[in-house]
Amino acid sequence: MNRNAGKKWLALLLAMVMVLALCVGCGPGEETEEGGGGGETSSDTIKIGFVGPLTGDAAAWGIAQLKAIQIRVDKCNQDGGLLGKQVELFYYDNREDAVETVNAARKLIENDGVVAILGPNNSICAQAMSSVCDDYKVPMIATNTPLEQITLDDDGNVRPYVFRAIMIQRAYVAPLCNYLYNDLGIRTAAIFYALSVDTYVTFAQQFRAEWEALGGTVVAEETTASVDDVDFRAQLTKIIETDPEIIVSPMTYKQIILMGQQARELGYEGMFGGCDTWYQVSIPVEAGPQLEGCIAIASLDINSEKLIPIQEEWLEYWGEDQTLRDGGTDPYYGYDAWKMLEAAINDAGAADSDSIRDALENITDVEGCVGLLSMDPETHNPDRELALVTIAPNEDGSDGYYYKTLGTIYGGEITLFDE
Amino acid sequence: MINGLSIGSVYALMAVGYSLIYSLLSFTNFAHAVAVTAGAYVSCYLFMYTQPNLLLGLVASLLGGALVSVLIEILVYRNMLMKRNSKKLYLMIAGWGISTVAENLIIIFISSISQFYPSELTSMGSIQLLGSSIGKVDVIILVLSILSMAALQSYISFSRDGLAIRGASHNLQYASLMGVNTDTLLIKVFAIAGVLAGIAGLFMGIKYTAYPTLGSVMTNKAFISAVLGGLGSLPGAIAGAFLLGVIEVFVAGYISSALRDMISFGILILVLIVRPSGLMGKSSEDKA
Repeated sequence: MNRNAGKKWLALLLAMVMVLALCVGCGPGEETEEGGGGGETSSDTIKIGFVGPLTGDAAAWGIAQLKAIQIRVDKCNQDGGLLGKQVELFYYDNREDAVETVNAARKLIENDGVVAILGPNNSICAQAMSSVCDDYKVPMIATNTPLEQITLDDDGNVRPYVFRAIMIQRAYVAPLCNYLYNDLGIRTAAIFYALSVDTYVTFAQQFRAEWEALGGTVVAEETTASVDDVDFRAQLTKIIETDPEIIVSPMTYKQIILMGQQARELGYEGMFGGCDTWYQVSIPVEAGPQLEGCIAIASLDINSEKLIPIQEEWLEYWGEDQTLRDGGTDPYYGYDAWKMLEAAINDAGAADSDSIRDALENITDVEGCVGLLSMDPETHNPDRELALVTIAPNEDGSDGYYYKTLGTIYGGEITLFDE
Repeated sequence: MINGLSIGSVYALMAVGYSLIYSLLSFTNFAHAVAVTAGAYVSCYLFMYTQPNLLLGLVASLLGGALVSVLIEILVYRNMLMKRNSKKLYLMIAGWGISTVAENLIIIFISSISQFYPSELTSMGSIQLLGSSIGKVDVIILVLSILSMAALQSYISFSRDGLAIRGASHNLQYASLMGVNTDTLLIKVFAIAGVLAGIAGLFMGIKYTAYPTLGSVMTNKAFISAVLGGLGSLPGAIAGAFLLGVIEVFVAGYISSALRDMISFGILILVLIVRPSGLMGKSSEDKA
């Protein structure tokens, strides 16, 4: 047999091996289907999974969230574990990519045998993972993922194994519009957002609908193509020409900072507003003067005194808190997701996926990082408190700006703090 | 318009670097992005320890960009080009790989989060011109970019090294036969390209922050500019860059920002179909 023929046979053999591996790797195994649940506990441990970005542009948030969960797992194990068993945490990097997220979820379920998954922290990745978790019947708790469609299948039915730790985006938009229109008396708004992110697009649609229902006017709507875009002068020039009282803008924190700087350079004198994407520590630091007085609805009150013990615990455990600060709200959502899972396992008295799922659907008054959490069994979305925030100069008179909490929001009702 | 020219001037700094290297070695150096990013990070971190001073930042960035560019030439391209006589395509792929590795090294050892320049540089205010507000930083960037390119043009036109570069751009081997030390010449060319890239990195960092993918995002535009103007032609690269900057701003402002990149790359494809050598480029052979 000559060398070329030998190479051909080798190539054919390798191709057959790859095809075989592909077939074996696809779909849930028989054990998971017949067992009625994805993972089961081993005799000694309860296996939990985490998926999030640990490398790439979003690594700061993913790492912070993972670290928050690791603290909780270690504390839990020190206290005897769950149901008398130690918790094992498995985690994979999804690089904030939907395909990687699906691969990571499969690995956690098939290779590691986890009974539940925490994360991811990105709506698009969570949407990709949701069908996997339903197929394998392993419950997931997505963390900072306000996109409504995550917990819904293509027919609009609630996915049985998909939950989230954050409120859906619609819950932010209505109170924002109400506050701007009724409390501040604003009547004209412009919307500016990045097209490449579904949550931004739906926010813009929901804002317009709510705003116009109240009687407000959207005087301009401009977009930028991608979250990587950094120059918005052309779009801002068009917006400023329509003289809006407020520019409402769901974008990344970097884009928000650059937008604020560029808009002021172009002579814009009005307000800015937004939602949870505005809640990042860099924003008041880098663009405090430009964005002072902005109004945003945040997913939790970063100034809450209830966060202090969590922050102190973090500092003690990790020896630094820069990661915590860089992570924004992500570490706190990791904390809450763990708390929800822990409560579900304790309520269920069992740590198989189906029992956890059933219990998760009915958790009530779980002590989260800033308040009580309860799951709505109809939607798999939690009821929790939001915060109304602005950027203000430091209260102690020192140079700099910070997020000042103006009030809290629960059930759509705003409670303003007294000045 | 000023914004378009300002952006175009930064694209020009990067595009000239592309064209300079291409004119000698006939391959597109995607590792050029690393020099841009290095320029941005060097000055950004310098300002954490010093008072924000544009001149100081300029010096630091151009030195940082030059150093990175020369290191890449010595450690990678020289080995591939001189010792192994690698095909141009492999050089291009190596450059691409270096760019990706560098981005991830920054993410691992520094951070994925954008690093902001001091507000004294980012928020200089604006001036009123013909009824429009124009950022002072845009005007400064435009002026300094033009001065940098004018300095380069003077160097290439009137110095002995410039004469050697012009000669080598026609044929590197013949230049070597004429007594030009091509090893030293390539170091100088990469250093010049790195200086321009570093300056571009500083300006991009001031306008848009320093982040790991700054170089690759921006040098894609510079690459389009260089092709538009003609790879290997420095005046062509400058013209292409200004044209692209103005087109982008006008498309984003008057048509749609969503179409901006589509139109930019569409122009690139059109130029490659209709006039592959670009507006002012030399003939195309073995392009990589």
